[in-house]
Parts: sequence; structure tokens; C-alpha cells
Amino acid sequence: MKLRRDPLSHPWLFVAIAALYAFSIPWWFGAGRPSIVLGLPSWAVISLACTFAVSCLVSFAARRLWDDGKD
Amino acid sequence: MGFGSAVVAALAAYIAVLAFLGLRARAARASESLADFYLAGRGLGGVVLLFTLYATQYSGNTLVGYPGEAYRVGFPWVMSVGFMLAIVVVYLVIAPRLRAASERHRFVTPADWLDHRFGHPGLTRVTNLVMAAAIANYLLAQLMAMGHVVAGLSDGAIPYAAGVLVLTAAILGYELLGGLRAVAWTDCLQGILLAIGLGGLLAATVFSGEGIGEATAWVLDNQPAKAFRPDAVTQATWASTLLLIGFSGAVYPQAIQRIFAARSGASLRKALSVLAFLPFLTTLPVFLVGILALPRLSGLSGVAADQVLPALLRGWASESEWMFWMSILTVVGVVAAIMSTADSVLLTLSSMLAKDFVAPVLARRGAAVEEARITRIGKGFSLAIMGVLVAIALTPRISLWGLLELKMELLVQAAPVFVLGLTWPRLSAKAALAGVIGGTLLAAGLTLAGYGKIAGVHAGLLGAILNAGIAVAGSLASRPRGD
Repeated sequence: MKLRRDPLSHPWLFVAIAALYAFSIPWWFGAGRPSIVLGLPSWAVISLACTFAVSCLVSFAARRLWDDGKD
Repeated sequence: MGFGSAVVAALAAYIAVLAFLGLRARAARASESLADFYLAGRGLGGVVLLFTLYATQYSGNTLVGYPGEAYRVGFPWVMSVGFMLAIVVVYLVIAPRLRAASERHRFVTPADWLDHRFGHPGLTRVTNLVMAAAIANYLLAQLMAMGHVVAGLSDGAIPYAAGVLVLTAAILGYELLGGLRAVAWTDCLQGILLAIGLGGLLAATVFSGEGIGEATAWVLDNQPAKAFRPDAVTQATWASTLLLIGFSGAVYPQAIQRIFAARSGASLRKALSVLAFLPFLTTLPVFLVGILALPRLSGLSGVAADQVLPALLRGWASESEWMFWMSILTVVGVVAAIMSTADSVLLTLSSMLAKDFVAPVLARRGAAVEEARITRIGKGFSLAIMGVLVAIALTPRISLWGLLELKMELLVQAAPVFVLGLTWPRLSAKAALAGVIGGTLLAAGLTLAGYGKIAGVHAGLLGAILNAGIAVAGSLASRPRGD
């Protein structure tokens, strides 16, 4: 059986995931006291938002960018 | 009824259901073949596959070790949501091609793919040995977690040794009866209990008085280092952990066997598309529980990392009857999470030892190697492995997270072989073998010399980078361009 579509043939997917992960680490955040957003430090909320975006991309790729011709 | 007695009763009922599922799985077997016992006849549908991947991936360490880490590290432990997701990201790279190859060649263990791809017995043996050593360590961590959790959460009603022995016997019982079919079915029950347990944790979190906002404000005022932007070394550790867990978690042999065991590519795709969101329903609540523990347990000096969850649950159980029963459900959910990981590791380890190590020796000696015999040998290995590990587990010394790191340091050395082997046709067996050996020696050497991390980067990741570098350079050097 040959893959008809493989997530690996979509480099943009992995570039986007890498960028979101890089932004999920708060190196870009200031050294001062963070404000509290949704009960958490603001940098932690942005980190979680980036991670959630990765979840959405992965789920999309598993359903739409992977086709082994069996369905 | 006291908290300890209620935990004992709930666990007894849970074990009775596991035994019933083991017997049903035994009745459902179609043959004594390796694929039937170790891959459930290659018939796992999307829902069962999702639950078994979930229950296998999220272990006792997730529920017991991670609140302790959040308590110790503070908000940077939000990285745990990302690194559990990173495993699914790496699945996207390896699973489609591994699945396609396994449909053609009917693989049973990861070594079957290694043999198919490289045809180099040395590489197969060394990679298999690294993976087997890593998951044996992982299984030991689960056995120790079973003892700690039932002792801690039953208020001492079940001693540590009894917890290890009784739950080990339960796992062996249903696993020897029904193989992966029993493991996957019990994973469904365990996944549901895990979800209920997490629901209990969340409910306890919401109704326990202090909201997360108050806890965050308290941490900012009293332990600011845990809530301000992490320093550069912690940021490096964050990035290193994402890569280490992502690559090592995706090449768990038990996870690879589930790719082989899926009924179809569609079942696997559906399972992974949901699995991508489960860190938010599992790791995130557990992280929040650890943060809530910061103000609540701040008066206790030297709270051991693994004792944060038991301490919180005992406190919540005394608040109201409703909280009491939610805490009991959480305890069963935690035990289920540990057992569902341990049973999967045990089954995979015994299949690797029997099929990849013993069967070739028997074949070379001209002995009969029919599949039913290998399956029986694998069952013997299950008993022997658990016997040895239980003996070690009865002398616990290090925290669960420490054990997990040692395991990942080794397991990640198998990742370049799988990732490069599936995506880069030029990867040569000899270069891959040199990479695995070099990477393993570096990772183990640094760890044993006390350099578990260098500038925040895990020794295992440094080993894996060396490993991949040797594999790529060696492959490029071994073939002329245009070959």
C-alpha cells in the first residue's frame, strides 16, 4: 500500500508547528511582574494558546493531510 | 467509612472488573498466533485505539509526578502540556509511513520494521536493546508508583509492598489471559476512570475554596521566581524537554505496536486527531492542581514531589461527603493510569524478548519456532520480568520524575533510527548503528557522571543530536553522490 498523501509532504505544517512551539516558550516576555489573565500569569496563557494552536494543526493534519487510500 | 477503607473497597471492585475483562478477552481470541496475542489480531478500531494510546501515554507519573513538578517548578511547568502534545507531532512524521509498511509486511514488533528497512542484525539488536532497557526502567517506575500511590492514598491501609504485589498480580492475570486484546479493553476502562479521576481533580480544584487566580496572586507575592518569566536556563530546559519527550515518547515500542495493531489507517488517523487535544484535558488540570498546592501546602517544609497529590486529596476528602467520593474516584483513576501504562509496557517488553531475542536463537539451533511456542515463551518472560522488577521496586530510592528522565535519555537514542530511517532513504545501517552507540554512550556517560543537563539541555538530547549527526554524516560519506 502506498501513501497518497503524507503530512511530511507539507513543509509549511512543520514550520508553523515549530514557530508556535518557539513562541510557547516565553523568551520574548519582559522580566517584570506579569499581569494575571484567566487566573494565570499572562505569559503562561499565551504559551497555552500557542500549544492549543499546535493541537488544532496536528488534528487537521491527521484528518486532512494523511491519506493511505483506504477510505 | 474511613478514607483508607473506601479506597480498599473501590480498588477491589476495580480489580474484579479487570479480571472479568481479561476472561472476556481470552474467550475472544481467534488463535495462538503472535499477531492475535500481541496485536489483538490487528483489529483495534478508532475508539479502542484512542483509549489505549491515551491510557498508555499518560502514566502514573503524569498524575502523581507532574503535580509535584508544578509545585516544585511553578508556572514554567505549563511546558508539560506542550511536551505531551509533541509526542503526537512526531507521530505525524513517523506513523503514516510505518503504518503503510506494516500493512504490507505484517510487522509484530518494532524490530520487524528495523529488519525490513535495514536488514542489519547488529543495528536491530542494539536498537532493540536500548529500547528494552529504557522501557524496563519505565515499567519499574510504574510498579513503584503503584506502591506509593496506594500506600499514600489509602492512608496506609494498603502498605507499599502489598500495593505493588496485588496490582502486579492483577496485571499479570488479565494480560496472560488476553494479551493486547485484554490490555486494550482494560485501557478503555482505565481511560474512562482516568477521565473521571481528572474530573474529580478539577471539581476538587474548583470547589476547594481557593481559585486559581488567588493561588497565582499568592505565588506572585510569595514565590515570584515560580511565576515570573523563567530564566534562560529554564527556557533551554523547556525547549530541550519538548524535543526529548516528543521524540522519545513517539518511539515507545508499545506505541509503535499500536500503530501496527490498528484495524485501518483511518482508525489511526481518527485516534491521533483526538489525542492531539488530550493534553488539555489531562496534563493541564494536573498542572493546575500542582499550582493550587503552592499556597495550600506552603506551610509544610520538604514536601516530597510525589506526595503533593496524596496530601491534597486527603485534605479535600475531609471537606465534604461529595468531595470524599470524588477523591476516592481520583485515587482509582490514578491507579488505573499507572496500571494501563505498566500492562502495555510489560506486553511489549515480553514480545520483544521472546520474538526478537529468543526466537532467532531457537531458529539458529534448528528448534521449532511456531508462533504458539513464541507466545508461550513471551508469557514466561512476562512472569520473569515482573518477578525481577517487583524485587527491585520493594527498595525504592528515587523520585518518579528522576526515573522518567533516565528512561527518556535512553529511549530517545532510538528516535534518529526511526525518524531518519522513515524519511531519508540514504540513511545507512552502519552509520545509524554508529549513531545509536555514540549517542547512547554520550547520554549514559554524562548522566552517570552527574551531568544530567548541560546549560539546561538534557544529556539524552545531546546524545540524540550526536547520534543523528553521526548517522547523517556517516550515510553521506558511505555513498558517493548520485548513487
